[in-house]
Amino acid sequence: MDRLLQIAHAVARVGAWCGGALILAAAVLVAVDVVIRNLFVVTFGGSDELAGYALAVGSAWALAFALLERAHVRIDVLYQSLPVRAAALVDILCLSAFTLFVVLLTRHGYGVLMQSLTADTHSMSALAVRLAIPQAMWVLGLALFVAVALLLLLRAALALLAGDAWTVVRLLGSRSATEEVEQELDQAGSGRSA
Amino acid sequence: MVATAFLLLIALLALSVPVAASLGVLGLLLSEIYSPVPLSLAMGEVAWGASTSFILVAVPFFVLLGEILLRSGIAERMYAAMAQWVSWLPGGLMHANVGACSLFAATCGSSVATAATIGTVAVNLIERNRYNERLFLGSLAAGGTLGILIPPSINLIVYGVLTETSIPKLFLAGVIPGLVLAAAFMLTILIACLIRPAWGGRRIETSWPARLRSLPDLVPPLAIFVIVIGSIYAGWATPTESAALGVVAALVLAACRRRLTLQLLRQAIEGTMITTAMIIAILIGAYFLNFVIAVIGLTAQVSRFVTGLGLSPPETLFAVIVFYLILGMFMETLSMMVATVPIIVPLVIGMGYDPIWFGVVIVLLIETAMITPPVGINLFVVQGVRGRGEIRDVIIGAAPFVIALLAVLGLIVLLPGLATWLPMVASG
Repeated sequence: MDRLLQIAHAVARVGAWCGGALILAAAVLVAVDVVIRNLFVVTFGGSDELAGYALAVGSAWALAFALLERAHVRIDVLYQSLPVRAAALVDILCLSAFTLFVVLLTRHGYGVLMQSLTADTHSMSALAVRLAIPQAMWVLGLALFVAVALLLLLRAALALLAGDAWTVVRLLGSRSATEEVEQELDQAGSGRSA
Repeated sequence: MVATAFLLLIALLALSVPVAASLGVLGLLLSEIYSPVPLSLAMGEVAWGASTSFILVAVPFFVLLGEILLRSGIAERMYAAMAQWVSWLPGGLMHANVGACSLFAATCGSSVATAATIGTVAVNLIERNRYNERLFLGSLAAGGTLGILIPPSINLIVYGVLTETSIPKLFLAGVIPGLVLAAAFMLTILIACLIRPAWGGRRIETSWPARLRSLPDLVPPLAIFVIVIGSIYAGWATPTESAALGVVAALVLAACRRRLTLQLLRQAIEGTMITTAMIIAILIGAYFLNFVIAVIGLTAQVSRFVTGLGLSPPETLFAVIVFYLILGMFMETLSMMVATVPIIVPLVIGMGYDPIWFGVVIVLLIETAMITPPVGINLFVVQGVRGRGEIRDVIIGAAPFVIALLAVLGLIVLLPGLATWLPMVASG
C-alpha cells in the first residue's frame, strides 16, 4: 500500500513537471509571438489559444501533486487546536469533500469531452484545434487527481481503523504555517548560496 | 437564502475543508436546495472556460517569474546597493529593507516571495549592527506586503478577472499608493528611531564612490520592471504577454549569472505548478459558485438586503473595510479575496465607487491581513527566515506598520485621486 503511494507520488511529480514544461513552453511561445509581432508586424497567431490549453492541462496535471504535497489551502485556525484523533477524522472528511467535488468535475469534464468528440468541434480560430485533444488531456489530469485522492483516502481509512491517527494526519493533515514557510525559505536559500 | 449560504460557507471553511472544495461544494449544495435543475450539469463548461482563460495564464507566468528571480541571486547585490543609498537615515538598514522590498515588488507579483527573498538577505544583519530586533523584523514583514501593491501583482490580476476590470489600469492605480506606502513605512521607522535612537543600530559607512559603484546592481530588477510594465503601457503586450516576456528576461538574467541549470529550472517549475494548481482549483470552485449564486438570484438578494439596511455609501464602505480587517486576521488572503469579491464589489460599485480605486483598497486590506495575527502569512515568513525566538517579536514589530497601512488606507479613501489619477492620465 505504501509502495503504491510512493509510485503515485512519483507519477504525480512527473505530471507536475510535464504540466510545468507546458507552461514554460507557453511562456516562450507567447514571448516570441509578442516580439515578432512588434518587430515585423506579422504574427503566427494562436499563441494565446495554445497558452490557454497549456494552463488548463498543466494545472490539471499538477493538481494531484499539489494534493500529495498538501498545498491546497485550508483555513486551519480551528483545526490546529484539535486533538490528533479528531484532526484525523476531520482530515478524512475534508479529503472526501474535495474528492467528491473533483469526481463531479471529472464526470462533467468528460461530458464536455464527449460532446466535442461526437460533434467534432474545432476551436473558432485560425488554428481550428480539435477541442477533444486538449480536453482529453485535461480530463486525464483530473482523473489522475481522483485516482490519487481515492488511494490516499483508502490508506488513511486503513490507518484510522488500525487506530493510527498520526499516520492520517501525516498523510492528509493541513500543512502548518511553519512547514510552508520552511519550504519558501529553502527556495530563497537555494538562490542565495553558491 | 443569504443566511443559509453564509452559514454553510463559514461551516465548510471552519471545518478546514480545502478552500477550492469549500467553494465548489457550497455551489453544489446551493444548487441542490434552491435550483429546480441541477446546476452541476454546467460544471464542465464552466471549469473548462475558466481554466483556458488567457488572462489567467498571467498567474502561472508571474509565479514562474518570481520563482526564477528568487533563485537567480539578484537579491543580495540589489540589497547592498540599496543600503548604500538609504541607510544614512536614522534607522539605517531598515530603510534598505523597505527600499529593497519596493524594488523587488516591481518585478514580482507576490508578497510572500518578496518578504522571503529580502528577509533571507537582511535578517543576519540585525545583531551585527545592533538594531532593535522587533522593529527590524516588522519592517521586513511590512515591506514584503508591497509585493502585491506595486505592479505586477497576482492579486490585482485575480481582482481584475473576477470583476472584469482592466488589469493595466489596476496596475497603474497601484503605483502611487505603493510609493506612498513605502514612504509611510520609512517614515514609521524614522519616527521610531528619532524617539528611541538606540533602535537605529550602528551607523553604516557609505560614500559617494561606493554608491555610484553600486548602481549597476540595481539594473537587473529595473530592467525586468521596464520590460514587464513598459511593454504593457507601450501598447506592445497584454498583461499575460508581458508576464511571458518577464519569464524569458528572467531566464536570460539567470543565464548571465551562470545560475541557469537544469536543477534551477526543475525547482522553479515544481514550485510554480504547486502554486498554480492550488490557485486554479480555487478559481474553478469560485467560478462555479459564482455561476450558481447568479442563477439562483443570491447576488440580487444580498444587494437588496444591504440596501434594506439603509446605509449611506460612506457607511457601507466603512462596514466593508471593518469586515475585511476582521476576516483578514483569520483567513488566508487569496481565498478571502476570491470568496468575497464577487459579492462585495458589485455592492460597492453600485454605491457609486470606482472599481479600479476599490481594487487598490482591497489590496491594502489584504496587505494588512498579511501582517495581523493570528493568521498573517508574512509574519510566519519572517519568523521562519529568522529561525529562532518567538513569533511574538515579529507581531509586535509589525504593529507600527499596521498603523502606517491603515493611515495610507484612510488617505486613499479621502483622496481617491492617488489611485485613479495615473490610470486616468494614461488613458487620456
